[in-house]
Amino acid sequence: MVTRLNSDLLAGIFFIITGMGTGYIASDYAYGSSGQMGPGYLPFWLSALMVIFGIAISWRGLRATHQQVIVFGLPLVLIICATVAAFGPLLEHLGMIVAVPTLVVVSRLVGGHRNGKEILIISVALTAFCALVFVWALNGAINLWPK
Amino acid sequence: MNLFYCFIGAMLGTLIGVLPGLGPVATMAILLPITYYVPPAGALIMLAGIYYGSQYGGSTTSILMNMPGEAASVVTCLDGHQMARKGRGGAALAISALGSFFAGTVATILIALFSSPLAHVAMQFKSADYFSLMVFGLIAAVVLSNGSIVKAMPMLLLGLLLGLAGTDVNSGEMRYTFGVEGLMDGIDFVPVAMGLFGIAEIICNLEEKAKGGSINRVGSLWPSREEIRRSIPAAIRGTGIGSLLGVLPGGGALLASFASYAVEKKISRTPQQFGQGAVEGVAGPESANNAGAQTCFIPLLTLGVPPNAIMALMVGAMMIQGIAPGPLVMTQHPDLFWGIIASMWIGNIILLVINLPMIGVWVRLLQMPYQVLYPIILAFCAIGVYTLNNSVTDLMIAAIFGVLGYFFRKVGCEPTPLLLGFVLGPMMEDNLRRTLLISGGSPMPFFERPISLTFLVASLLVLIILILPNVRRTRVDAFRE
Repeated sequence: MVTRLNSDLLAGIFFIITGMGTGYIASDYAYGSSGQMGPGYLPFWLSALMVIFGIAISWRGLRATHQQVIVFGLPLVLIICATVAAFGPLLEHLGMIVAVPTLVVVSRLVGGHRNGKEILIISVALTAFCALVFVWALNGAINLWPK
Repeated sequence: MNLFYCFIGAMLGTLIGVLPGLGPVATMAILLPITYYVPPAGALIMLAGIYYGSQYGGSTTSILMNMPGEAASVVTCLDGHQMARKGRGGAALAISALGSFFAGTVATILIALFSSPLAHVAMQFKSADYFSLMVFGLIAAVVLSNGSIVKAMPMLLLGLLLGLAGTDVNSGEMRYTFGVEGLMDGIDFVPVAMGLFGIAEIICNLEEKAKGGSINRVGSLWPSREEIRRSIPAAIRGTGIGSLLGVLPGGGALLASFASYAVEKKISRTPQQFGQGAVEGVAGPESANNAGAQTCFIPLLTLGVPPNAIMALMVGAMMIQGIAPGPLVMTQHPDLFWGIIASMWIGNIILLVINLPMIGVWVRLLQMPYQVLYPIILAFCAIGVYTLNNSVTDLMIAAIFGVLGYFFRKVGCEPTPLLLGFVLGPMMEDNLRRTLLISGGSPMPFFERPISLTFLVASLLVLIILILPNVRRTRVDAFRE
């Protein structure tokens, strides 16, 4: 994804949206009073400040004169992070023997290093090492095999 | 025999702590079961050994791989990793080890000589003072950021908000948990750090590599005379800062490395070097960190207040021994007190002996081609995050912060202020609430108490010094336009 938007503008928009989001959620919590701060007191003010800064940064971004092109490599980021998130369920249900090689294979393929032999060696060696350290030596509560 | 346990603990702590994704807390959690097989007195000493070992190991991952294993290591990443990128990784590790050893020695002496008066000083701090100290710490975080301040502040705020997520201790209300069970205890530091620093770093490196950059160069493994010369005063200052902050019950040691970095940056004649590999940025904070980690035994032993989960473990272990921490522990159990102090210093020596030769090993290990290295790092990160709480949620948090970390890097927002806010958020709210409760909503205590006022004024001064040049610059730019 390529964008010509200024980095300041992007950052500013992010903070405005996030600040409004956290503020909205915080409005559900009791505000309390200054003498008896409720759970919503500080989140409200922090969110408000964040929105203000977001506006300031966006303003600076809008006024910027130099051109900027930012490229977001979306497939790379999203796939790797999705695999990390999936690592948990994979580890719990299918064991390390599936989870680790999956992570290795996916990260290598998406990263553009497709040497099949290397991928195989790394997967095997890494899984063996982790099995040795985490499952056998440290008696971890980690499954090596599927349940 | 106890010496042997100390050695084993230090060795294991370092080995596991060096694995990326496994910071001190995770390391101790993993290695704790081993101590069950050891007699109680030895177990305590072994725990201490593991603690120091994991801290040394943690600074290794911070410097070589830009992955902080705990809050205090974040600062080491800033310049330590830049030094590694310039081929000075071995030197950074050596400076870190030597600085930490120096700080540990001094801190041990301080504890031996000044426990009582230091504890007495620490007891002067009330909630208003803590709050102002933390405000000062947060402003220091802004000093730390090399990018724009306007972008660092909202990162700080975001960090604070994230730190508040979880069950509010005061009211029992669940904030920002979205009904997810894994978030009820709040968000853990490790997944956030791994995502923001570890995963995002790997992804950015992969992009960079595609354009043909090189990541791992290695120069000489030992610091140059120039580097040593610059590190010594930084280490001394860091030790002082760390020793003082560590004595404050309730986590002063956390701020030690941040404060030291801010101080070094401010008094340096070449501040623009910071963030590019200034050796003082490694020597000072590492010394401060170790000094703080040792002097935090003072409130632990004399007041029974553990500054973090690890120390809480030690308190528990001590109570099993029949020792209740308190002001009288020095007189009632002198052999244990001095035993712990002696083991601290011996632990430091052992670590120096273990780690200095190992520097060559670690640096050479990292000379592996990056395409082999990064899946390994990723896997250790993932396993490390999982083993923290055996929680699937933690991995999702790490993944989300991986995406966020990537975004932040692209738009020029520094993750360091976020992490500092994250760590300090709950404590700040707690102290703020307590102060306001006692004062009935009036902010006067922050200005009336001398300690608190000092920190607030200092914060304001730093902020003004930071903003003034920027304002002038904007005015000049506006003129030119």
